[in-house]
Amino acid sequence: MPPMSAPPDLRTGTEGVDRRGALKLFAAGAAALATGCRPQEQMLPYVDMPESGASSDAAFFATALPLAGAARGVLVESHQGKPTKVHGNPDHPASLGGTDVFAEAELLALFDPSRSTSPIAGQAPVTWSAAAQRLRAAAGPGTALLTGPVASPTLARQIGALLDEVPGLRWFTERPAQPALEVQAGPGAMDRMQLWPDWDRTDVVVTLGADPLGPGPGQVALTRGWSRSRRNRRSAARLFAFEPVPTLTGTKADYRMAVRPEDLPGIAEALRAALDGGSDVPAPVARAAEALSAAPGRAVVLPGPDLPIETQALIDEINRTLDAPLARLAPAWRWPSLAQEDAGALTDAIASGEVERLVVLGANPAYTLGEAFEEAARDIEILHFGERRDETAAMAALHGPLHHPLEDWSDLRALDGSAALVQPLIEPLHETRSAHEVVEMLRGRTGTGPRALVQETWRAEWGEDFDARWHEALSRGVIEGFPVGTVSPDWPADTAVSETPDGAFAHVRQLSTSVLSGEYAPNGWLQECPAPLTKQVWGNAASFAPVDAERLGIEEGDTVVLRGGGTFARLPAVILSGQAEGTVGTTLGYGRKAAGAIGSGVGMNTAPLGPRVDVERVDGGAELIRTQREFGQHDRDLLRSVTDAEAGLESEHHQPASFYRERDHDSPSWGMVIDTDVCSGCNACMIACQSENNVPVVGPEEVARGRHMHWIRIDTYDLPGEDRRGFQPVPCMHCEKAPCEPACPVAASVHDEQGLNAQVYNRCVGTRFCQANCPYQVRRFNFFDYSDSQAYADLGADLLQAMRNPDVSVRGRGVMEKCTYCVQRIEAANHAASREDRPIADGEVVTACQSACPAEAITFGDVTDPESAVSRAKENPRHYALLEHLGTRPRTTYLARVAPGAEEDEGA
Amino acid sequence: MSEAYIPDARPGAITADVADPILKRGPGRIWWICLVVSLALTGLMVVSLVVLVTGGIGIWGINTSNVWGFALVHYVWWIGIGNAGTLISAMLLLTRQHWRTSINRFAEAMTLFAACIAGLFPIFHLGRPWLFYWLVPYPNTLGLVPQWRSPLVWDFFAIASYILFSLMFWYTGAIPDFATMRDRAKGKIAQIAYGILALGWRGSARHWKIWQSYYGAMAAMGVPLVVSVHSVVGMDYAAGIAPGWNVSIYPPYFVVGAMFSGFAVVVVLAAIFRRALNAAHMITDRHFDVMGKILLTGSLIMTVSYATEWFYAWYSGEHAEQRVVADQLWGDFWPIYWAMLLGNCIFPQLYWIPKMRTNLTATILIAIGINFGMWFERVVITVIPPARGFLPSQWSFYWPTFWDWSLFLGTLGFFTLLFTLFLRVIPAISAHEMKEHLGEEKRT
Amino acid sequence: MSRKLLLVFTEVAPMVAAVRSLRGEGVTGLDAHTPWRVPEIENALEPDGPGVRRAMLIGGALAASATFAFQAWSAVWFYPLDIGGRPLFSWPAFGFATFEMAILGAAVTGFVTMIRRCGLPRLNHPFFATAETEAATDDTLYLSVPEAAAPDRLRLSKLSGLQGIVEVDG
Repeated sequence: MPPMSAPPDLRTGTEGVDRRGALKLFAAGAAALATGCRPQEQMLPYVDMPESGASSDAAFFATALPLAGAARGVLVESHQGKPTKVHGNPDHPASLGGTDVFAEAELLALFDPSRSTSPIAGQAPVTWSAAAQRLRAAAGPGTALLTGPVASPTLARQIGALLDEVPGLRWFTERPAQPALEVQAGPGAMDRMQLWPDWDRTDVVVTLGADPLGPGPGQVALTRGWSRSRRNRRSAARLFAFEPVPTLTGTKADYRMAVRPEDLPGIAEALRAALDGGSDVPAPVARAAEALSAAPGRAVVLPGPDLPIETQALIDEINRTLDAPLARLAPAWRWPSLAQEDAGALTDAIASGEVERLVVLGANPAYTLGEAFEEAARDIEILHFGERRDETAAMAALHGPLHHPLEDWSDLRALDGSAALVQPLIEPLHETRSAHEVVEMLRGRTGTGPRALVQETWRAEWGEDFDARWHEALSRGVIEGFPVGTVSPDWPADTAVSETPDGAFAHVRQLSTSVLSGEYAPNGWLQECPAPLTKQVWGNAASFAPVDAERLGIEEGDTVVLRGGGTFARLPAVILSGQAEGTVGTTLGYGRKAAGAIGSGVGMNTAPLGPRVDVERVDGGAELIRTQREFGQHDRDLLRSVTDAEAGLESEHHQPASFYRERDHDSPSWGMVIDTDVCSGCNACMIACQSENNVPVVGPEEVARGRHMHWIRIDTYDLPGEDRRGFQPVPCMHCEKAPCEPACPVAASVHDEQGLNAQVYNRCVGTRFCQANCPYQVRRFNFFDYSDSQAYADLGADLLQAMRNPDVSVRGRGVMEKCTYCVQRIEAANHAASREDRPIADGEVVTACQSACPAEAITFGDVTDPESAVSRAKENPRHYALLEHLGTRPRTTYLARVAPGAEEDEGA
Repeated sequence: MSEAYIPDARPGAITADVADPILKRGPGRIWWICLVVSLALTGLMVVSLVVLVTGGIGIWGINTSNVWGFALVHYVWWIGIGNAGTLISAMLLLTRQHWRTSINRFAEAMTLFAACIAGLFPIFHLGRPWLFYWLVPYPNTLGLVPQWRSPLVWDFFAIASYILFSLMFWYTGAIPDFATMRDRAKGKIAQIAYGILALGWRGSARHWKIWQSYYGAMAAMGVPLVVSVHSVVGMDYAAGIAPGWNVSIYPPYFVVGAMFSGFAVVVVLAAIFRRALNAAHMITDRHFDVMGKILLTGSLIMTVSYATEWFYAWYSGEHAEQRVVADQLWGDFWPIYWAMLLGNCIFPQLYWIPKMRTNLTATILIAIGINFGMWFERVVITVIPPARGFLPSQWSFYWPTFWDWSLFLGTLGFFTLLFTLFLRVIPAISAHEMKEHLGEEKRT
Repeated sequence: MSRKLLLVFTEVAPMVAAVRSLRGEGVTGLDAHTPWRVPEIENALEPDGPGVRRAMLIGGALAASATFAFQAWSAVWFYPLDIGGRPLFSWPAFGFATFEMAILGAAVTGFVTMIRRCGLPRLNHPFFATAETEAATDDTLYLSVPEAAAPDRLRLSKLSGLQGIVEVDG
């Protein structure tokens, strides 16, 4: 047992107090419990408390979390003044009730012990008032303000005022992670537009290098829209993907064609020609064109971000011809009324001496702009404000820590143009300030808090109605009637052909599903969240088409060196069937140098390599750490496909008979159905489960040894006969005839009367026989005390104790654990129902994975009620049980993927 | 092979041969070397166990798919060796194979030591080893009892019964020899110690009658007990659902495997004792000849068992089962599997040649080969099936770490230590039984 | 205190002959002390049946039925649990512990019975009072005859193969 340690002082983060101090802290803690450490400023709980939730002391607050600047509305669950879980906000258009990995992981980011805790100048701590003085002195000509993408109307208002007040001050915006479907809409770097499909009116989608289901601020809403159109109008909905490197979108496409990036413009032209009646086009293009023209007003073509501007113009024209249900919106970060410059111009501005001082607010140019920036900016004064002491903070004369969004007041626009208020869930843990306050300091003002600044913005907007609308916006989590800006693209008449650098391979860079563009590198949950297609964790890789790999003699796990853009990256190789020949794919966001104990030195940064690279196989140096190494199904029919959703798998059921008498199951008895047809592999369920169930991180060395703790994993398999992979989320199956239970010598693994396969942690002695005997291998063993004394890196910090879900035990060393179907939520519903003397309603219990899933692929409920959603799903013809022939009678079952029929292929 | 199994000697000479190395002669240099080396390795075992308990079983190479690794490999390996002593002693007694008197005492000691070492692994491989007693049905405030359907509970009962049984069987057999030591010892301490161990044995006709009644009944129960113990060990796997484990041949195949590996160790130990005790007249070439034949029989049965597994896999039509066998034979795991076949099936065929059975060097090399083969067999059984489970997504492999190896080496050292001490304390050959059968061969 | 005469032999056959002849003369209370088991003497002396095996049978049966009953009771009535959908009364699974406990119960009962019937442990027997009996565990066989019942020494000295006579308290 670890020595009794005092609770940390949340405000200073100090540890190791004496006994007297500990007593004082206990007293303070008791006082904090009585009042809650929630901010005393008026916050408002969410108007409709979700029914599914946690125990009765939980409260929910609506707020918004930024990703690449843009908002996703969330509801944050709070226990005794501490946020413990992020849920989606059904009312917010960028969430619609779902979440993504980044939103779920913000909780860990809030309590992260590697956050910066107080202002510092060089190595010396300074006060915020000293920092404010330096900021004020810095505001003047020759000063540049560099921000991340600013989607906050209040911050934009403040910056506008600042630009007015300080002539000669320039504002640069850094956008390392560009949202999906944000494309060029004119000649300038700031001429961008956000395409936003209306999924209710969209049947046929053709993507040309676009990845709407991939990571980014639009992922949740786009996945939900796509999955609903696919589920509700299966016969009409078709997705065609033309892309160089497999993306989540391409993986879910009905038809997919691997195309080199340089050939994508040609595909667009062929598509145009086919739509015009031309016949001399490749068959896949002809098929896509046929589908497009067969769905007038219900078809869209979605361009990728890297297409040349004339191709963008061509696709825009096709969409207009098709009368595509597609909005052309101003990006959330774009403020046309303000003088806004792209960060790409910053390095030159510094090098030329135009910029002598740099105030960085929530950006990290030393990483995103690379070595050129570091060279140029070495001699100028940098004042850095951010949540962490990152690479830029290391160069800065002054660093001031910013609030985490869960500690801050603000407002944020979403990709669709809607706006929401951001309200704090907890008093700031450290000596941090809001970005709003920092801008005020630049303006020479202090004393106004972020809440007042935000209210000022909206008071001006709403006038008389302010009180009611403020109340409404906070309790709903979305601002009604906010005007949405649209863009009319301005296509240049002719464009200069940009020079293509040398290099044998086209280099396709994608945003990371784990760390996006590097800002989430310090987050342990995300570093250990596997890349959907390769299952790599704790790093990035270079992916190759099988033909290229064979030609270069590369096998999976070998080390390759990519050279381009005057630099190189040493990466492990992976081989992806379905990748275009002559391309190498990498993910961005790795190779951070100052990302805390978790993220520093993980992977390599491939952004500077440029669009073309040379590849060389070398001996060793990069390790491929994965949670799954074998992707073949070996004829085991694990991830099934049907070509006709109506006929389904009816004929294939072969559940064996059992020696044992069937048990009667009392109501409720729980079960789950997972629809593999719409699962897009986004991993949101994994991180949601990790957050809900206090699942620890094990670290790269442990994963390399084959250990991992995720209660729900997503198996990725090659689809037989297709050059792509599919996804199969695997939580505990809660088998009725669970093989794990008879294996346990101490009855730590038992069935309860609600049909749950329960694991009794305090009874478990750790024989691991249950794990050996689980054919689905969903059981997870605490080989070490991963949650506390033997945690990876700094994840055992006392501060993280505050993040735990109080309704779920934290498991110690030597104990088996696994998915419980979120039994704490079931019990909360049981209590609520018995208080009101009624049965639990269908849909009242929502598991964490189900609630997070943006594709609504997971159905959960009472299988003894024939009317419940889960029972109806089990009647679906596509329904099947994994490894059914073993006779385990799993309660978690699947719906098969629907592949386009053979007739359709021939017809096209 | 004109030699007899039983030496042609006077009873007094047997007493001297058995007792004097302990009571009269000094330990000798080799003994001291053995003691120091085995003490050092025992120290390694203790360190490994301390690190294991303080650090957690994560120090081993086991992982989410390969949950057992060396802990169970060595549990099965040791318990296999541990099964032979009692089996040999009991079965040969029942079938009146009087040559057993040369080997049964140390074979039973081997059983006892190996079974105790084997018993360490199931306890220390637990995630929370300090709670191992939860497998015992004892009155507790939780009102909980063990879960009787678990093969691990069966295993617990089997191993505990087996160790206690073996101890009683071995001790009962040794009481008359303790009396001999008591009466022959000159030192006060030895007289008292052996006096207590002998319990006042006077060798009266009544004693012998009662003793024989019990000893014979124990031998009769020992055979089914040994069979049940290793069947239960086989059930630890066979009651599981994993492909490669869920095979009904496991219980009998484990029993034969245990007998096979145990006999191989007996051969090696017999050769060592023959040298150490200068006892070529008591452990004769004929002993090695007959033990060679038994090992050959064991090897043939093992070969048939392996072939049966291949057949099962093919006949079951289960992809997962077939994949495990294919990966063993010519897939990723072929080196382990072929090392097993080499040691267990191929080399022992040399025993068909009579000279190989009586040539001590050859017979020891083959027996050591069998022990390697059986070790690899336990690796094959414990490590490969979970590495090739039903869901390919979870396929992974187990690589032992330093602490995996150190614990194994440590237990080998501990076993050696126990035997080194045994040689200096306890009559290694059953003198009273040998005297009983003196001259028998001449008479018949 | 009765004294006993120990007739010393070094070979089995004359001792067996001596036993037969003494018994033929009606001498009772004979016993033998031999370094190894001599079945012929056991047969000639006809001591009572040891009763060890009957005790083992009873002990084993009791242990087995108690073990089985305890398993069934605890699994069905005392703490019934749904374990993988298996029946509460999983009698085949209960068989293993039952069998092991039967053997162990028999072994322990037998051991205790053996010790008790042999009158052991008894570390201070008059038999040990003289150093001359130390060879009784080495290579010498002793036939003990109660002095009261023994024929005269002359008769005894005529027994073939007799190596000597030792007197001990009995």
